[in-house]
Amino acid sequence: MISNQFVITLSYLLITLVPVTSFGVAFNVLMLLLAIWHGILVIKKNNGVRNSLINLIAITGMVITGLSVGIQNTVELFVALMLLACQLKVLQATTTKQWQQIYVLNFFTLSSVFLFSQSLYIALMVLMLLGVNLVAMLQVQPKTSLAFASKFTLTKVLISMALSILLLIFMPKIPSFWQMPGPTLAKTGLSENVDPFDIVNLAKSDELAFRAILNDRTQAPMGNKPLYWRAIIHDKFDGTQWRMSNLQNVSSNLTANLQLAPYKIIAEASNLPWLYALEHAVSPTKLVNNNYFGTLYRTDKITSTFEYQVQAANIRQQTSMPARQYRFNTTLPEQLNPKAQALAKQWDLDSANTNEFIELMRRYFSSQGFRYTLTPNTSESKHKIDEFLFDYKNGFCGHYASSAAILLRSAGIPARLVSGYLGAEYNKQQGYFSVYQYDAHAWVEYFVPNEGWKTLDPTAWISPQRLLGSLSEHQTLADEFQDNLGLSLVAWSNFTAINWLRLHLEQLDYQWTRWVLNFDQEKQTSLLQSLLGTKGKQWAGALVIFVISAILLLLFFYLQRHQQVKEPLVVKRYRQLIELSDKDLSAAPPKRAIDELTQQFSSHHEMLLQFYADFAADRYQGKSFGKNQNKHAKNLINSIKTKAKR
Amino acid sequence: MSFTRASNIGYFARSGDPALSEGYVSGFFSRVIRNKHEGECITFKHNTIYVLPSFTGFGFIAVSALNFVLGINYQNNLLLGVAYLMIMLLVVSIIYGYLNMNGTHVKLVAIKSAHCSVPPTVIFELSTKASLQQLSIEHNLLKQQISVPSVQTREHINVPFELPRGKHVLGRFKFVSHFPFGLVSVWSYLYCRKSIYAYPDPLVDSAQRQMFESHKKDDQFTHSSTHLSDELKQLTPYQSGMNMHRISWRHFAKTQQLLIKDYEGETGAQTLGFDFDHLQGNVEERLAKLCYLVLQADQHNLSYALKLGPRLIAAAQGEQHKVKCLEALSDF
Repeated sequence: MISNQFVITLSYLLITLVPVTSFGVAFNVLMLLLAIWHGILVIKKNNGVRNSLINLIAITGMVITGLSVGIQNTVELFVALMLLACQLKVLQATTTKQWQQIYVLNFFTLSSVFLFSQSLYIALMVLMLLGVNLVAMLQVQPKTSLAFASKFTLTKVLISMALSILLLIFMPKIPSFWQMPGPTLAKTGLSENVDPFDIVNLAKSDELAFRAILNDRTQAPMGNKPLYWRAIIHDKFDGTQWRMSNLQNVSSNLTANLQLAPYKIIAEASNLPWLYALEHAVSPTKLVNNNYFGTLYRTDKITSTFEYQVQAANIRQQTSMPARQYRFNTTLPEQLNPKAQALAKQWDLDSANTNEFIELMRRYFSSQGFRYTLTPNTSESKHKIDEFLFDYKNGFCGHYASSAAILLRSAGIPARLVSGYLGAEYNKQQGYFSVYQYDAHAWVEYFVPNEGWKTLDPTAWISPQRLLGSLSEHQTLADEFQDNLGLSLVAWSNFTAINWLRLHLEQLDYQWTRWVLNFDQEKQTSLLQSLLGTKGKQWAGALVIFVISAILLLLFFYLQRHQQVKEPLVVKRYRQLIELSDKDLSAAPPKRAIDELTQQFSSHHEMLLQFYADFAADRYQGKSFGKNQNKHAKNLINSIKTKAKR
Repeated sequence: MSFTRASNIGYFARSGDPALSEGYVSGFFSRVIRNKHEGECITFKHNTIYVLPSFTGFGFIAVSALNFVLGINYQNNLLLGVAYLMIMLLVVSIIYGYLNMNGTHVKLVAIKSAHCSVPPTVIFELSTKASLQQLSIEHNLLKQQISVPSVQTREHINVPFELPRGKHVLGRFKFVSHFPFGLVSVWSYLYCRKSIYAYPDPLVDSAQRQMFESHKKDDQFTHSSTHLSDELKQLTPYQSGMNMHRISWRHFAKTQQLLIKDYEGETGAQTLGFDFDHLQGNVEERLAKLCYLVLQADQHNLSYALKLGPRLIAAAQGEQHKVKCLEALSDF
């Protein structure tokens, strides 16, 4: 079963190279080389490598793994070392016992990919690999055919899967015993420190950011009110980057506005703790807090999909601003962008209040031929904002938001940058919104005395169309958007068939995320309650074990009944015939048995002889026992029976 | 190749022959097995099949527990799913493993005693209604278990023993299968009180040959020349145990009748006596030499007596006599 052994090596390689696991180039190359080596050994029919050589490779491999993965990434390091150890064991193993150890350990090694990704495709991949592993386990005994092993494994896995799904649904969920280090995931997404000129990179990613299930449609009326998903507040500008506010992860008391219906958001793994919500929000979900700005965050990083509930919050309107806070929100590096600062000061003199100032700014942006683009000019200059405002005049949301905030601050108006997402793709059948990385957006919040903080989206002046729907639905940017994404289903959404496929895959993934990955204690409780009632739900665990035992018992008896090999028809008839005799003929040879019967039922002499001829022809001469012969045999049996009754 | 672990499951350790096994617990189990599984044939069914997770199976449970703990701590439903799947696979394996063995009929067809180097062999007939997969037969006198990849309806299995000279009680045979995935051990026993003999291997050397010759020349044992030159006296019907070399195949070809050629002046003419005490060498060597003499005498169709210390086997000839002598040699 050498080919099986190589398949195991290939499955390690697949897990190493699959994009969700990031062990670094060096480790990937190491695993690839080991796989090639195993391949050569298999072709040469060489089995088992010397222990001393394996030990040497193990030590070097551990060093390479440590350097490649990084000691601080505990989970990756652990999984990578597991993979390496298993691969080396595969190279070394010669006895059946060693192979069995490998196969058993594989159930741990292969499923550890779930720590990094739980998408439907990864789940199918792991299931397939485990299936292959089981086939190999069955074939440990020589001379077990692949066809038999595969068929047997498939049916057994299907039975076991059905039962374990029952267990998964009904077995009471236990809260985690202790905190484990999460894996670090290579994720594109919002960053804590936004370089306004960088956000455009997100437009190149069609990865899902989160999904929102808004039960109350009035909350987010389609088509007339833009959906601004706030995530991170940036209130310090250092000349190139807008830095995240220090208050971002400080919990604050806000009261829930119960007039608005709550909604659910399923956030994808982002490797950051920041969550998304419309306007100001609070959340009743465990581990989720809200900060002073009314945005939500989790106490730990989000390393797997996470579902939480959002409740709109009452905005605690700040009417005046203490001097310290005012200074903080109007600070700018003075020596940078002199032209922009001069322009703002000019507008400040020309305007009587903030609204007029903004109107001047709007007029400037709309009259100077600014363009909204996904491929803005890049600049190496220190005065990027100046170059953008007076030279290039083309940019993405980051450029507009950042410039507007700087202009506001230059005129002494407190302003900050908000990053999050704008818009969403609505799935009509399932009624949820999908928000992708390319929907990432940045906008501005500014402060007006006696009125409080207000939202301003300068992008809207340049491209009002962007406010409604997702970036993928943006007409004028369609070409740029597709060029940016490259090989992706979204890029081909012009073709109806591909768009249909994309939407259906997306829907499938939604159901998977919602019902499989996020089937938590809360959902289980409500499901059990609706199925079994309040009293019954505590018995769910016992009930499911009882049901599974019953199913297994039924399976057992069913299989035991069907274990008997089906006898050929002629043998069945023969047995029926000899049953009719007074003597026990079961051990007698057929010829003698028939003779015995002929003596007993002399009136059927002819028919019995005929039957024996048919019987012999079928059993000994390879002729078939057809319909006519069977009819004859049945007639014979019946007539003997009826005679016996009389 | 194989499941060497199998024999180490539970209390049924390879503790040697049950009669010799030590320890109260294993002694108790040995007695139970002896009472329950004694006989020359057995049908494996619910009260004679034992099922436990194998060593691999326990490892499998441990890995499942590990996945479960990870699944709980990361609140990862897929890892939990794998943990549950593994447990269910084990349970399903138990069912299929049991059904694999269930209904199999094992029958001890023959015990072929033979010279140590031949070797002595036991033949089992396995018959099943459905097919039986991945069975292996273990015995404490076997160095390596006999593995039977699959049995469809009926099969004969030879179990050759490597035994030292002697009489050996067959004792306990263990039939083990780890059929689906090697996760479970499904096993049963057959306890046989019959004995198998490992005859000494014949030892030829010149001294012996001379002695054999001298016996021939001795007056006491009247000797006529070999039967080949003799005239045919008569043909007698064949009876089992008679020398196959003397069947008249010509008659068989013509009349389908097995007849034995008897030669003139043969019967009772020569009687040889072999005495253990008259031979040189240590016990084993002497027995090996005696074995050679017995075989030679039988081949030449001579009548011979055997004296082994106090035991005397009266002079006779034929297959049964030879076997009796060989058994006596083994049992000395």
